[in-house]
Amino acid sequence: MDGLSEVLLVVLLGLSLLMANSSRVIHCIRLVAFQGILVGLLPLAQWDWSSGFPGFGLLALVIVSVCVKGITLPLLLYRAMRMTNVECEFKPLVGYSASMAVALLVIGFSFAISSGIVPLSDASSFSVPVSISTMLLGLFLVISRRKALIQALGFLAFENGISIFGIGMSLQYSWIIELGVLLVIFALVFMMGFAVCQISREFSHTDIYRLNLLVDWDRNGKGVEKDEEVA
Amino acid sequence: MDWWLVSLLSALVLCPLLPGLVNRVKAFFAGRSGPSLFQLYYDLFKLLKKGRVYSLTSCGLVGLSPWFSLVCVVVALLFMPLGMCDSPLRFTGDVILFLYLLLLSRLLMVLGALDAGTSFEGMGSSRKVHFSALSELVLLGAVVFLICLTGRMDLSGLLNSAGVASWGRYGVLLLLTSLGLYIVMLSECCRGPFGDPDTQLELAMIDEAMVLDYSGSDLAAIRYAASLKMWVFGSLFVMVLLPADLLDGFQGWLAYSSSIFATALSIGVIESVMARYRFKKIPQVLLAGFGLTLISLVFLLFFGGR
Amino acid sequence: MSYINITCVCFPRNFIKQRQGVIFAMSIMNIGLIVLVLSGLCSLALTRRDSSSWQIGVFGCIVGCSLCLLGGLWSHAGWSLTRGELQFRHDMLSLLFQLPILVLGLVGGIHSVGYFRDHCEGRQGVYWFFYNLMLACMIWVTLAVRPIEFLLSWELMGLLCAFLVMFNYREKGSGHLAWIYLLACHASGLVLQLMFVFGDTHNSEMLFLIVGLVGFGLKIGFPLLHVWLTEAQPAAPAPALAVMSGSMLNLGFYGLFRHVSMSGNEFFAGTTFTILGLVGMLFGVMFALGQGNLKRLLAYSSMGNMGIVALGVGLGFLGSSSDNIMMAVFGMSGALLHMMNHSCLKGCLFMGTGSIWRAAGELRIDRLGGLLKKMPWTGRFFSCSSISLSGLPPFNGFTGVFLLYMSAFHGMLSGTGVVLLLSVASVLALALAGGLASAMHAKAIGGVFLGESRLPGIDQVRDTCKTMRYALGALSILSFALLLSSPWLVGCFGGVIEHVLCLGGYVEEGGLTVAEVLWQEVFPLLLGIVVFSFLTLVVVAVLMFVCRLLPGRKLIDRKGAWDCGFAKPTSRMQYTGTAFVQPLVDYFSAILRPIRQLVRVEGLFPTRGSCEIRMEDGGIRGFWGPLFRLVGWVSRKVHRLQCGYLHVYLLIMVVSLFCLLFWGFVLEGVL
Repeated sequence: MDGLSEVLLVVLLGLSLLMANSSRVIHCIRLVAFQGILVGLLPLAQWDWSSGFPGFGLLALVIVSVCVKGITLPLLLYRAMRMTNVECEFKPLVGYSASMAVALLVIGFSFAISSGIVPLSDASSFSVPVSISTMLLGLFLVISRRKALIQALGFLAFENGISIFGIGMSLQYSWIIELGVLLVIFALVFMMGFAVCQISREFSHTDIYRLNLLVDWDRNGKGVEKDEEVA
Repeated sequence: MDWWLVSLLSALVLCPLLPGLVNRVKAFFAGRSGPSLFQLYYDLFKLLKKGRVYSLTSCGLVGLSPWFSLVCVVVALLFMPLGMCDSPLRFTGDVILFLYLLLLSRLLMVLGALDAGTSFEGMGSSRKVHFSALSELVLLGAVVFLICLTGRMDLSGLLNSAGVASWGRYGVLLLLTSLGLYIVMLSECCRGPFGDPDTQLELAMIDEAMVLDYSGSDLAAIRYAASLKMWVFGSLFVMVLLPADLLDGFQGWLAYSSSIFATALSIGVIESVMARYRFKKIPQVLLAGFGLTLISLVFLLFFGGR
Repeated sequence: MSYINITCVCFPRNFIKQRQGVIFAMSIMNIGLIVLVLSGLCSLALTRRDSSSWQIGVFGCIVGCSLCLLGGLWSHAGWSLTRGELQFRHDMLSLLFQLPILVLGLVGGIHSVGYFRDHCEGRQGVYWFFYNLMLACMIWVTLAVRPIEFLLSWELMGLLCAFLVMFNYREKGSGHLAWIYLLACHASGLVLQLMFVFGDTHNSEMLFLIVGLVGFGLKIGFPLLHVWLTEAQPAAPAPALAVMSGSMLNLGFYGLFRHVSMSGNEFFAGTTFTILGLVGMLFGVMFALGQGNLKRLLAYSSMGNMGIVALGVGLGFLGSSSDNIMMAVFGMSGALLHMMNHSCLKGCLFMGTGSIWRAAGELRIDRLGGLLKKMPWTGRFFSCSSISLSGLPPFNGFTGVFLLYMSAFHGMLSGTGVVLLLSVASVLALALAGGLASAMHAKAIGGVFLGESRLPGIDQVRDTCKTMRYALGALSILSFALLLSSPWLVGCFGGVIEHVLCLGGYVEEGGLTVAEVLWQEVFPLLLGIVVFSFLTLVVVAVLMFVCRLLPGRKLIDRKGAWDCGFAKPTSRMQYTGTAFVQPLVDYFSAILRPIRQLVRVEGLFPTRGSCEIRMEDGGIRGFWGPLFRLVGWVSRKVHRLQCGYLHVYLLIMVVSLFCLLFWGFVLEGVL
């Protein structure tokens, strides 16, 4: 099934690239949900079907992954989006064309460094660069976007990248690592969903960049500069 | 050893002659007849009979410190090779004891002065303490030179073992060191250009300011101790100059005593001829004396073939 | 490595016979330590009830210290003990450093009773807690074997002392001082950890030695590392300060002797110690001259005396490196003897400061005066200890300095090159320091006890209670006993000297062993000095008796001094302490840099005028101040990164991750 897994990986890479370019929150949520479903199905694609039906563990992992990453968490974030009426990311810290350039650079970088990592046994050698680029693009979303929801989606993409790495390398006990990281990310996004509502209620916006007012050290003693929000 | 005892007794008895001699010389230069040679004896007898007046501030230290100070000087005298004979009390390292006893006598005088509680005493003691810290340096510089020269570590050995042979080889160095010791003698006894023993102006007093409030037998002890200190420091100077093995017994005692009186004469001459130094200049002169001893040490170590 | 190679010193030969006695002594010592700790805890628990807390505290202190003393002296031959995971070892070297701790702790405890009477109500339990635990911890430092236990006890001791420094936390500026103290303490611990690591991994003994010198030098108070000693430590209460200054500084030397092996590097060690000692001695006494606060004056004097000890150790090492056994033994024994003398005398002086503070409420020398009439016994003990500490005969402070002089003389006679130069420099520096020290002590005694009093409330000043006077008296008697027993005491240093200078073992033909030098050369000299001192005191007594026979001696009249000189004399017309040392301070002003604030007298009928001379610490002014300012400047630049933007923080994390990945995959792969 090498062909199917490689196709999946290419699609995943394309999804990451699209995420870097999306400005509407609902669009981003859909992309991340789709990404999550595909990542959940990746073990099945990599499984050697000639040796029989996959075991109970693998199936359970697939179902859990698909449910959590593809359905539950995106739904939660959608609810938060509705409650806080966040529609778009208007003024990201890194502009959209620059984001695209950065995304392409990141993909190139990850392909460059993954030549040093040799995958084990029968895994695809394509999974390493895809996973690294997904991780880095997820992190990039966290750094360069103002809205808290987009940052949460970036974390989800990051987690997807780790899963791809684990599954793609066919590491031993990869599913334990996978479940562990999933648990962490689940808790984090769960909390983020609620936190975004709280932030919105308290500050009447969810712009993380403007939270610099909370800093307690005044560099010049004149007060920290406030950032203007473009309506 | 007998001659040492004789020298000791003569030191104790004859030391009040020294200030008298100095005053006579100064009077001679000034065209006066001056006080008697034995004036200090008369003064001491008179003072011993008198009662004492203490300041209201004093707590009794004024009555003790002159005597303690005198005892220190006398005990220091016991370690010296008087009359060019080795002291019977000598032991290795007694030179340190000797110098620190003199330091103790100075400290006790300073404390006694501070006890009286007026500004004159404070002034005198602060100057005294300043100059004596530097004269310690000169004295030990001379001691270091003598140790390297003679190889001995006791005072008798230091002062009494440089024979005529040493003079032949290191004459100049011995002269330089003895010049440093002469400067220390003038400074410690507050004589000559370092102080004016006749004045009562606060501008010029060092030792005299410290004893302004003493009277009676305490003052007698102080004046006697001052003359004894002049003998002690004069002996240091003289014994470095006199070659040790040339003179013995009676001749040694004679040479020693007459040299000390000659030193007193020279003090009188210098006091008459030179004006008093400003106080700022005294540390410089003391450092110059230290420099002299250092020069002799350096020459000895590098060119003396040690 | 070095710390594993340390062997027991003077382990007994007939082991089995003395075994039982040793076990008994060991248990006594352990019981003593436990008593100290328990009494401290009980004291803390009973803080509310003052009377019981101090009673338990002092009882525990006295009993604990006595038991430890007994145990230590009984088993001076040495033992070692393993209790669970902890290891202890006790030998002559430990005993030598335990004696100051225990004796000063005992006497300090007695003094504390009087010091805290009607003072600091409600907090006495806290004081006794820290005090007793500090004593127990110091003993632990001398008993610890392995590096981890040593470091634990070292840090704990520093922490407890820091709490004592902070005891008067309500005073202005005490927080800042405690901060300085903690900084120095932990710096010392950190450097010592480094040192043990170097000892384990590196082969460079020189590096090990240098790091050890820095780490332990922070505790001793070497020049530049002394700032905590003179700025922060004087804030502690006087009895605790006496213990800290008299015994904790010595523990720095203990650490050096025990854990830093200098065999093979003796010349380097000797030169370093000598130079550090010279600089410390001179700077300590010069800065002490200019201080206006009595406690700070004594703290700088401590630094100077530790410099003298370091000088002795340095001369010892120089002698051992040039095979000059006389120089080595004289130097080391002089250093150890001076350390003992200094502990006893400085303890007495600091406790005297405590008495003055309780009686007069003031510690500035320029505001005191005339206290000898009101506090005769305190004044007498303080003055005798003070004169003794200047190194003057016939007191015990002279003996240590005398041995150092002898060592330098031996170095001058037989040495060449650097040894000769350093010996000559030592002699001259000791001379200058002696002269300046006597000036400093004259200022202290004269400014505080003599003359007319400058205190407004002098009439209410009474001498302190009996316990404080007894404490001071006990230490004065002890210093006299130290003088009388110094010849025999020095003989006991043999094993320690051999161990530290690595002299045990091979003795060349015609040469002398350490013990022989000690008993044949040093003993007669010290005995001569003791006899001479004794005789001097006898002569003085006889003289005083004879003087009474003089005719005019009975007549004593009291008058005001120089009544006709002044229209309205006040006590402020006397020379203050600052004025007394002003010529000297001006002479050394290039080093001391006094700050002069002058309000000039104006007009024909002057109303106001003042002159104030202060001195900033040389280490702070010349080195630490600029260093901290530089660090502050750099920190302010780096602090811009903390701007409050979450994105920047995340970016920093990702960038560092990138760099690590780059390093790991690309560079290592390439290399």
